[in-house]
Amino acid sequence: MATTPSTTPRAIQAEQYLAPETLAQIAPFELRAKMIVEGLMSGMHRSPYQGQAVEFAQHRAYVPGDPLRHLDWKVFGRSDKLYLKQYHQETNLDVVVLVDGSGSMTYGSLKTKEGWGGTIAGATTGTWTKYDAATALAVAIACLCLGQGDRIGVAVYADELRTPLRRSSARDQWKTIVQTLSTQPVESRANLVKSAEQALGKVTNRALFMVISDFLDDPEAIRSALARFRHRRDDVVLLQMLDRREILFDFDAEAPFEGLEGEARIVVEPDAFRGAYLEALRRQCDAVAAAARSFGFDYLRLDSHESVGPALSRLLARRGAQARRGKRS
Amino acid sequence: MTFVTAWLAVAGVAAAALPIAIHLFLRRRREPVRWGAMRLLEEVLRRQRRRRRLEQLVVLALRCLVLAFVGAAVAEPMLRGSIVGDRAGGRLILFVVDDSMTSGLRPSADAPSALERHVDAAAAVVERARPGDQIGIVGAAVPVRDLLLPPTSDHAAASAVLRSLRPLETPASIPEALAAAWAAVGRDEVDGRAVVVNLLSDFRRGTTTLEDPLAAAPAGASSSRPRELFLRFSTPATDEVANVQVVGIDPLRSLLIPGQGDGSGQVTVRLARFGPLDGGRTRVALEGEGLAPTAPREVRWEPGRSTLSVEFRIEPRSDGAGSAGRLPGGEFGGALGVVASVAPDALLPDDRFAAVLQARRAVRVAMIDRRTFGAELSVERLSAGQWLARALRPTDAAPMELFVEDPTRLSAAALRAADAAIVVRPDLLQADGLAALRELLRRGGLVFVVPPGEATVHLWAERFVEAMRLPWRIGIEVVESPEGLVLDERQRSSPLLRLIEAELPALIAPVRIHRRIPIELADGGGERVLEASGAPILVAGLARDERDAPLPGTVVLLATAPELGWTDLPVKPLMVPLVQEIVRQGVGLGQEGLRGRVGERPITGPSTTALVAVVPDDVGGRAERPVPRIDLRPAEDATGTRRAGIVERSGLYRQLDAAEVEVGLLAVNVDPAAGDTTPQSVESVEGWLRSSGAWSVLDLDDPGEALRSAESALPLPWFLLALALACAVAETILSRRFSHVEGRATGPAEAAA
Repeated sequence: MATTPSTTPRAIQAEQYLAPETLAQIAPFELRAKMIVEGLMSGMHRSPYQGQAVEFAQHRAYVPGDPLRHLDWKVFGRSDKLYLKQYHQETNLDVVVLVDGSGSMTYGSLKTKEGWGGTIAGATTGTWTKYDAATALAVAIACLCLGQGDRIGVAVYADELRTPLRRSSARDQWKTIVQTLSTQPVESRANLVKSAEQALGKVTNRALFMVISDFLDDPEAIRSALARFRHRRDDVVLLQMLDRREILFDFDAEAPFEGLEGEARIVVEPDAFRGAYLEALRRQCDAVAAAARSFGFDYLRLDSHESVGPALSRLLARRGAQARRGKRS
Repeated sequence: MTFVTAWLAVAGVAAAALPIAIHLFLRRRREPVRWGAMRLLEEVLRRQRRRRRLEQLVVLALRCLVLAFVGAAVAEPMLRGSIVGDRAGGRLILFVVDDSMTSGLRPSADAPSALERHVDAAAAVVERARPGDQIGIVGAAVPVRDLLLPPTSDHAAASAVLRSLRPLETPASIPEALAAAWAAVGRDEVDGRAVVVNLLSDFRRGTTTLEDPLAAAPAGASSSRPRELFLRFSTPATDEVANVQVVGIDPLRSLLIPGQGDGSGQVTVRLARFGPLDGGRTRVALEGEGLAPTAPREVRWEPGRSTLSVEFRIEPRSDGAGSAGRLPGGEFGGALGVVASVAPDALLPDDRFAAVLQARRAVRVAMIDRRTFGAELSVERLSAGQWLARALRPTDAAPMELFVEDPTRLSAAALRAADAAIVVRPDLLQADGLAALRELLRRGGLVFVVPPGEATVHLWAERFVEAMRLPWRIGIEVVESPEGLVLDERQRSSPLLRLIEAELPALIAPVRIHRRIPIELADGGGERVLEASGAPILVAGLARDERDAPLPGTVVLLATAPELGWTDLPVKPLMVPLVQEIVRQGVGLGQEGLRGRVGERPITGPSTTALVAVVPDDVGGRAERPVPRIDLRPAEDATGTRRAGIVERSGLYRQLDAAEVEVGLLAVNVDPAAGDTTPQSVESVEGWLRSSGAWSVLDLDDPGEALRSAESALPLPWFLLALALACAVAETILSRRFSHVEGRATGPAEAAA
């Protein structure tokens, strides 16, 4: 069995994952739901419910039984016909961040520096792991959502959902998120399907699910999990976090490679493997992206060696543009 | 275990250690990389499984090849080491040197002979040879000699053998010499070694006519044959060198009887020449012990003519007392040695020719017949013996001495003084008598047989033919011809009757034969001297000894008894010249049979045990050369050496018996064909040699070329080791490149499973 890191909660500074420049990079943007979401409070996102609100939706012919208070008297006065006036109800957004806590997320090739990270995964290896980068990304998203008044909750999953999923719009929710992520052991194999089912079981209303993972699992399993989200008409953003060495495979000497999830040890001659590996990686990423696109979900690949701000900004900008186009139509 | 070369063993060890060194050098401990995207690596590995299987097969094949090549490279020195030890490491260099007569040809007085040039080239090759190389030398002149076989590593000895070579007076037998070389090449200890065969000759026609088939060289591919065979032949001569030779001395009468005025002493010397057939002159001399001096004669060659004849007249040297001259061999005469010579030219041995003539005061003839007593019978009742005696001595001045021996008591002692025997009563001969006649034949005497006139059934014939080993069949019953057989007008030319050939048709015309015994001659069994309607009447042939070798003496058989009851020949003019010629020429021809040729065992008298050269006057500038005594006895038994009894030098020899008493003379001459100096083209020589292997021309200015070729040829063990090394390196690199999975770690997932 792989070494299991200590699960003792550690005091960790949440700011270690939230750089001011990241906040500055994403501050101009809003996280908009591409789908109509069901919120409890009024907010900036369209609700599936129509009623009294500020944004006019349409006129509808009166049917006996309709409440008279919705009649548009001005139209009746001009045309002597009865029409009801309907409005879009705007609500807040529930954002659920699912962070992959499987063993493969503990890989990192960038040595940590003072003041960086602090998760168990990073502390064990002494590197800035993909899990650390995922934590930073989740915190950035949390700050963005909280700033918009949306509720956000974070859960770590591996072979199953590892942490309780509590959503909140409290101002210090992001610190709670950091604490949750940093104290969670990162191990075993990921099972996105099972974890998605568990998450969907806990989130009964429509929400925006942001899944942060390396997505190195079977693409069919990923597709299966996304189908479940789609069935619930939830919005999903897939954020694929890869280490730069995983992207470039820039090893120069042969070495034995050990799997972080208990795979066989393989002696790899980099020169002989590089081409085939990069091709396999490209196919894997393409398959994940294709699965996301097939359900209308967003997909973004991130380099764990880079700041999450720019990549997240591009995602938010793209989603904002799509939301504006959807509202005009 | 011994190795062909110590280098090879060291190289083998180094070759085996090299892959290990490479492996150790490349083997570095590396910390394992804990990797997240293992699924992708596994997928890559899975996708490459087929390729990996192929790679593994390649690596396996390489490993097997390494072992196979190293094993093969090591096995060879192991196998050979037990046979020849450390001597077998070098190359085998064989020289087939043409030391025949034409190898002594000197185009000019100061120019080196062909043999000297070839010896210099061979010595240069020997000097370039490595210490481990073995040298073998074969002399190609007949008899072919293994001068240095089996090959030796003693290069000084090889050089000494080469320097000791002198031209013989025989042609060469290159096929036989090459066969000796191939035998040396085909020996077991030559396996796997480079072999260089140098055939050094000018290839003039006197050496070889390029007609005899050659044995093929041992193939290089077989495991029991040399791996590399380099065949080189020296450039054939292209220059035409004039060479005049004396090819024969032909006396008009084989038996010289001075004072007869019958042509005795008239001698024809035959000349031949090779090279440019332009005009020129040649001075010919004839001399001999006991002969009166004869003046040399100068003859002129017409352009385009290659043969000439020169007539001489010889006489025994006068003793100054006014007699006819003193004959050699005592009162009755004996053998007379004569030597004809021409002025020395480019090739010396054929500038002289020796011959032994027989000189007699009178011919001694033994009449093997019953003695007759009483008064002379009438002509009609004369016996065959009496008719023959009258024909031999028609007058008292006839040079014939006749004595009668009884056939029933005939012995060898009785015939010791006889030159010829006329057997009138062969039916009365006993075993001793037949043996005595064989002894006479062995001495070159004549045996003239006529059927007994009194007999009607000739049972003697079968016994006589068997005793003489003659290939004849003689009928035992007389064939009657009442009308009388007439001798054919045109008869075949025969040496016996050569001097009366012109008169023969007229002489035989009146002769009638009424009775005769039938004679059948096997092919090559003799000659039909006279025929009547196709039936042999007078035949001549050679008896054979116990080893089926022909005896020098001649047997002559008349099919009819010279009696009037059988034929009217005794009273015809043919009778006297016929009997006289048969006896005189028959005796001379028998003595001519005692002759020899250089390189062969000579035909000598029965009592001869040794030959001693008669050192002539300085004819042809050869008198200073010592001629060894030639002992003929070793050739008599089976244990004699190969060269025993072989005469190696031309000239006159005295025949000595066991008591060292001279019993005759012997003339030994060179084979005229061996002096043919006509050059032959490179193409024809190469075409002839091609049947025995892949020959190429050896440049005498660069005689080491073949050695360098053999040097550059990669020895098989080295080649195998190089292959093994290459395979080992490839295996090391490829196995490192191909190997990916070291083992399987036990992960939490498996533990959970």
